[in-house]
Amino acid sequence: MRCSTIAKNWPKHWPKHWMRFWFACFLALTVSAFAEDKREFGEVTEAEMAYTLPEYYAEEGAAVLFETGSVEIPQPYGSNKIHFKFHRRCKVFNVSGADDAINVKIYLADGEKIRDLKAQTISADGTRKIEVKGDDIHEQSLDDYKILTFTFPAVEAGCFVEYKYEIRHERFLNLTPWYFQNDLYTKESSFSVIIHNGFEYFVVRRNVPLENEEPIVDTEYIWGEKCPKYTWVLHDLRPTKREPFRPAVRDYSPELNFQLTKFADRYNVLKFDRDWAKIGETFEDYLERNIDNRGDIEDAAEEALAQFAGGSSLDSAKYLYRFVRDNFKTSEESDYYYFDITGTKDLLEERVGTPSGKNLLLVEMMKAAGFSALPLLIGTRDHCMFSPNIIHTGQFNHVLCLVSVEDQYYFLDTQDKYAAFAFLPPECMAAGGLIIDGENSQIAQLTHPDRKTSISANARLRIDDSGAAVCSTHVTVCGHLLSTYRELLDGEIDEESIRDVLLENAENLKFDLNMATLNDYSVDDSVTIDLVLDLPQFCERIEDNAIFEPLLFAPRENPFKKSERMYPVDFRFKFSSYTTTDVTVGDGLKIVTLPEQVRENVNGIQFNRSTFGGGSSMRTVSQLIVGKEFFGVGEYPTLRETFEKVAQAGLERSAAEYVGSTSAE
Amino acid sequence: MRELLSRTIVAAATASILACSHVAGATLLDSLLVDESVVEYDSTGYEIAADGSATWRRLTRIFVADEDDVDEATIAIFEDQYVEIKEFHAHLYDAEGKELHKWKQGDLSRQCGFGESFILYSDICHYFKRIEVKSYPVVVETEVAYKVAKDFTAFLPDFHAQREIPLVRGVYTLSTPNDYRFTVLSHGEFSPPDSLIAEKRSMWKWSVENAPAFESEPFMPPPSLFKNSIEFAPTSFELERFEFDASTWRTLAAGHAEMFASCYDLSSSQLAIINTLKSRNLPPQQLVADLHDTLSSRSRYIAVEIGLSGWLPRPASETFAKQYGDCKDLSTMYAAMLTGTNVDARPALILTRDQGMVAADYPKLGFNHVILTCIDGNDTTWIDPTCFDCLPGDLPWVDEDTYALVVDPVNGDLVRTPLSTADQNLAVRNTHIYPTVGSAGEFSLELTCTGNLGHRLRAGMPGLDKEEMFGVLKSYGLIEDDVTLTGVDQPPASPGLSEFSFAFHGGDRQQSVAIPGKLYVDLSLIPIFSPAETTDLRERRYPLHLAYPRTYLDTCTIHLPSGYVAGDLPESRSYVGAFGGGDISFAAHDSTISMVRTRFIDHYQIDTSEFEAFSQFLDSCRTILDPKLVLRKLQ
Repeated sequence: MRCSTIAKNWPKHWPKHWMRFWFACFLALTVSAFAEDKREFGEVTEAEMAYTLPEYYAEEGAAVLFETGSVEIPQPYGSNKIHFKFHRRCKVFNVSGADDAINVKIYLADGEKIRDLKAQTISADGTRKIEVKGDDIHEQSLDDYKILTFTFPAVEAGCFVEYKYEIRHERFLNLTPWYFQNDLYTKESSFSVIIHNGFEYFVVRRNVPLENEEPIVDTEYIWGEKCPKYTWVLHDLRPTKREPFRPAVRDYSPELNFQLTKFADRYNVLKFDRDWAKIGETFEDYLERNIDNRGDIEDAAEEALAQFAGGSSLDSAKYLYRFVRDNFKTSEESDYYYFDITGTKDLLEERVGTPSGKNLLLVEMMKAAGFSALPLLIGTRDHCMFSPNIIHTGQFNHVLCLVSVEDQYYFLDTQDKYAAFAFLPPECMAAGGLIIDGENSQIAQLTHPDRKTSISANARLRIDDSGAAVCSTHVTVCGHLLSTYRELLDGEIDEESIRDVLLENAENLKFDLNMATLNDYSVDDSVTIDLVLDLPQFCERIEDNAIFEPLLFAPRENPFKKSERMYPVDFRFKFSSYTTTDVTVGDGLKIVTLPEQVRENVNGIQFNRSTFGGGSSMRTVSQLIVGKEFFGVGEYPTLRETFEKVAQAGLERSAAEYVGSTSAE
Repeated sequence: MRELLSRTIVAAATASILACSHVAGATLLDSLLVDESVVEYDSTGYEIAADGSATWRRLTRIFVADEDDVDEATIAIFEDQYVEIKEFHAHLYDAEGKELHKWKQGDLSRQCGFGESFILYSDICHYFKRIEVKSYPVVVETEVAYKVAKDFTAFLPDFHAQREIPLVRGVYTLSTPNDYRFTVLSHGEFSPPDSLIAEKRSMWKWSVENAPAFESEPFMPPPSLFKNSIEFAPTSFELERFEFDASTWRTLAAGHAEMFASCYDLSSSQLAIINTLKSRNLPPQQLVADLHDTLSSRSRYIAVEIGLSGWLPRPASETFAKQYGDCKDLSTMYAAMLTGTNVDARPALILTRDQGMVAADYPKLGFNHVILTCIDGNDTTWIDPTCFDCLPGDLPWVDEDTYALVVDPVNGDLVRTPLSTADQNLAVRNTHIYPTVGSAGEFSLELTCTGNLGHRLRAGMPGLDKEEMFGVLKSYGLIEDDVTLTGVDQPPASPGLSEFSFAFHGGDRQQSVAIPGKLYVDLSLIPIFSPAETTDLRERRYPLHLAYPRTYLDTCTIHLPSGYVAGDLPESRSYVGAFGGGDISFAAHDSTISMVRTRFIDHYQIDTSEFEAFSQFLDSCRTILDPKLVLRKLQ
């Protein structure tokens, strides 16, 4: 009996490649069948030879004609292991755009064994097959991970590249998830599963189209047993694309995941997490492994509060929050694990830790200080959206601190020095999560206090008769945008950072930084910067006019370059941008052209620009308000068009005429 | 005995046992008196045993003043089939010298099999640890000892005496048996080495103190050309079972000739192609072109580095069958097949111009790329077989005007690769501009590029969508940043190797400025300067690297908006300066203005002494070749 095998596979870390298990509606499978790939290796069909990409994707370099995954889960006796079989065939249309098809990486976790790896290139007419030889399959490693990598030989336009393999492992608890979508256009993706007697698994379907939710059920005889086989098949899946302000891709891609819920034989009945409380209990054990010195934590809390000047409980909690936020450096989390938690011992010794590690330390320090505090699991905004109906840990990748102070609950995250008490960084503003409290663990809805988020720039531009200018500017960055402008705020303020961050890469604008003053993050959740820029060639002289761009600090780039969008736009937060520019010109100049008035008010976005004056001075006030954080794909054209108008307005030029000239007439 | 050559020392002498200079533990650091990060100590010791194996020790101690410089202290060591880590430890100290942490090899992150982005697999393991601390300053001390295999004799580590942060003291010690020969080449000012010559072994020690930080600049030539360093090279060695005499370029080329020739086997498929080509009785240049056409269309660049960075090419038949390989594999395949057709084709080793330049009087295996030269009497045709989009004779810019060691059993030598001319790197833009008053104007553009521009765009576009392609054109300075793409009139196409064409239309946010009675039309949507040429030259310390000469040839039709007529048109003018030039002419028609403009630059690098003249040249080009058009409003 290998029950211990099942239990021990609850991982210490949560590797991303294998723990992408999902949720959705549940289907208990308690039957047995044998997953079988019916496509013969190397047998290209006439239809495949004739296949061409749909017109919209005609420029793609390759397509996945099919990929099949099949899993057989044997009873956990003896040396039985889970068999996962994979088979993929791609057609190459354009060799130089087909890297995702012809350069292959197969990831193997610790304990996984690969066998029967076969790969070959098949000529366009199907007659010639060139095998990838064993010597040409190379093994790479990243700490505990192994990666087999190879490329296909003799690749030409029209050819087929195909590979298959089997992986055996003992990870009964969570099967390797199945992702239907790829970076390539996928004509067909299918997954079959067969579970031998005694097991019960949840099938978690996410974003699988309604008409494909129910599997195809076949009956097959395996080892003399009549077994049903469950197969999900999706067709014509578009390739995934990178897009700015993209929400979590997993919220929009079809996936299947399987989680063990029960194993029974004649001697044992083992049940696995099926409700949030049980998941929380299990996860508490996992977190507990990272808390290895409660005595030291109590000392640290005591030491920290010894510096506390006194005040209410809330003041005390705020003090502890700031203590952990500011006295422990935040390190980057590993790319390879869902949870990367620095243990409290290491944190206290080295004063550096991952965000989840710091938050877990805060929980313990709050507790040591007498507060009621608990860890809270969330999925960050780029991980996935929380769904309370999907009872699965795969929704989470981050630990927050939940603390109760004076009958009020606060969600805390210590990773960002620009997050005041009770404000979470934008990535952590999840809709819900799981409070870890042993058998009392429960899900919680997260509400986020309004956080004024804006950037404003008040600029005074003085243009002399030579066309040179001096610009004095007071910039205020508030709320969530503090993180966005971190590059400028945390680093050295110099010409390069000002150009990159505040002037939106105005490449041709030549300026010297005369003065820069940065005022540290203040209690009103803002940072201010005072700048004086010398612009020796600010104006361009054409005939008797000096032409200039007055709106130096206004948005001038449209982040939405593509005309079409695959995913919604998730700004993460509402925000506004205000720019006021006062221009005065020397006695020898007279402003003759002012920027036009602009007014845009579409669903969720307002943009207004007003201009006043003329002659010796002008004032331009520009205001962009993004009043909602999420825009659907259907709203994208309007959103893009509005941002294009904002960018155009930021680049608009004015003209000042040299006094005494007659050329304008 | 010591012979002094020009800028080199060939050494042989008596012996002593090398002990890498070692500063144990952390002490209160002098550098605490300063507030900037420094490399306090960087010591390399390389001890070559009588059997050719070596012990390589490295000790560094870095004072990190603040987080900005912490990457300089990242711990990084490696191991491969020739170099084994025998000893490693690293320590982190605070400002008072108290040890905060120590690491052994098992504590470091490990990555095996990975190389640079273009490498599919490399048989090397990298171990590294990024330093993360809460407060600064800290001191990071790393000591590593490698055992170097006896068949790794082709390379000696160089002495890099300048880094991104100042170096307080650097020491390089080399200990060899007396009969070991090597040469030395220094870049920058160094004192002569201390030497200790004993009965069987010799030791030399170079040191440097207070080397300033090296601060790179955008669009500069390879930083390695400007950093203080000392290169070392053995005068003979064994590499991949072949004996090399590296005392001259000619002997070094001869060694490579033997090595390459060992890989010149041909399969029946290759022989069939060769026989077909031979049967046509083509002149050599046409034969080269035809074979290149055949091979480039069926080959891919894939680098698999096993052994000494895979110095030994794979057999030509294997590369042909797999249809992929790296530079030396593909060059070997080309050379073998061309030789089969009786074309005099020879591989040539180069250091690409983006990485540095080998010293012409210092024979050394200092190359990173293999290309090919075909010789027909006094004519040579250069081919880079990894440039599948290049015509024969059209080298990528990184191969141009650099030294190439032409591989030949007898007459191999270092020669200079050709530089393309401005009219070979051509961007032809046929533009229609539709200015409007009070909003962004529209435009359409037909673009055709040849030479470096052509094959780089050809190679870079597959797999990109149309907006991404548009972004690539902006990054090359072929259209300005503030234009948007609204439609494609003719998808990207490549009528031939080294040719690229694309036609599209869009909007231009900066096209015109209205003032009372007039409209100024801006033609800057079709820039005349590459991004490098617009670099601020004030206070620049290093030459400006423009990559390759080029020409912009523009024909532009400006469609007059309703209610406007052409104002006084700029004069037709031409200009030729020290770095290039151009000409421009306008003509007014009923509803349009037409412009024809040529602008070329025939330099690829501008030295610091030329900056003033170059700025004036750019100003002249801007004034003459990039005018604003004035349209008058009808009363």
